[in-house]
Amino acid sequence: MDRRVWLFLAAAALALAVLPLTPGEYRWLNLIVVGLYVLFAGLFALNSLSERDAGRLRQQQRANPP
Amino acid sequence: MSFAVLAVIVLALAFDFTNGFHDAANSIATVVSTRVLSPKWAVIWAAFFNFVAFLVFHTEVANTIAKDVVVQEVLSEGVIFAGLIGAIGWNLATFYLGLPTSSSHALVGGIAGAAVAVEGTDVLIGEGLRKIGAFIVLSPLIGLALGLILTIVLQWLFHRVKRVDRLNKQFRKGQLVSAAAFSLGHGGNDAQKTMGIILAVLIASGEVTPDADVPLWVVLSAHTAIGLGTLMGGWRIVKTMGFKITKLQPAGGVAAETGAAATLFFASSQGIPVSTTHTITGAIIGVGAARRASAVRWGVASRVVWAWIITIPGAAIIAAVSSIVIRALA
Repeated sequence: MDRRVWLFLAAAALALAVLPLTPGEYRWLNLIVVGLYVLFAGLFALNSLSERDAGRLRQQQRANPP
Repeated sequence: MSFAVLAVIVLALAFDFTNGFHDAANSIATVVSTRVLSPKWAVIWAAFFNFVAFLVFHTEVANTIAKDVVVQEVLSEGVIFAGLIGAIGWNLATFYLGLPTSSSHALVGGIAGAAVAVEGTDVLIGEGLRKIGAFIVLSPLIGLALGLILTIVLQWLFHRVKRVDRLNKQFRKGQLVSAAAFSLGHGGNDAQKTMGIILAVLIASGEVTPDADVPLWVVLSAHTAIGLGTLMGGWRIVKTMGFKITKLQPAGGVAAETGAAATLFFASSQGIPVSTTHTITGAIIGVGAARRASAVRWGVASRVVWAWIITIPGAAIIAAVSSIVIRALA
């Protein structure tokens, strides 16, 4: 898995961990940060999986040319 | 005005000067590394925007430092002096060790540590410290997210452009604006921390009333000190920083500086003291993350996390010891 996915998940976890510390008036910002990082992690994970699949397909095509 | 008050003001302005000296590199390293400006003109550019920041931002951050960290009754000249010693001592120690710690966090830790050493933990203001503590973590994360989003948006907008050299030329000009915005945010947030310290000592000595706003001479002297610090020494560090960040293209520089500047503008408008160094570091990591995993400065990221954990307790311990020594001597 792409290391960036772990970076974003760690960032989301950090933002979530400071949520109880954040004063009420800024919790919306904290939640947006958590949401954004979960979204980034999801998108980069999908991208990483699709790149892996594309690589595997290319390898198969090279091994078994039409 | 007594000698003790004057000594604290001079020490606070010296702290501000060193802040400008160190942090100039953050705002102009990318401009220097892409050869948009020479180091000399780059520091003049940053120093000018550090100074004029007082025209843009109010003094909410200064009020937070002066009134929301510890209760005002405990803030004597000795406590504030010890707090500054703690912050400066910590900065010098970590500068020697090469840790990217924040002067802002050291200042908060120093004041809190000095006050606790005198009157115990009851003097700490939970609400103010919670706000500062939450944004120690949130500001680099917001910078990182904005740096990443801006890079993706720029890549999407210009991916069809064939003349990359012409595009880079445009982004070099854009860097002048983004570096100016970041310097404005840096001046606005960091100079106010010094204003907060000076306001606290003026309140403690009875020079101004507890509900008073920051006097204009304090605003001007703090911005002058940070601007002069940037002007005097910044270029030496800029040369080093410039090489470290040479991997950033002009578009990446614009994205990182704009993301960090937006974070600082928000924090300053809300009266939240944040680390300008950690915010721009987060934004640069965000730009790297948008490109590829190997472009992320993993080592820098982990060192920033360590700096978060140790700065406030470290500065607080030095300040507490200083506070006890000052009390014993007095």
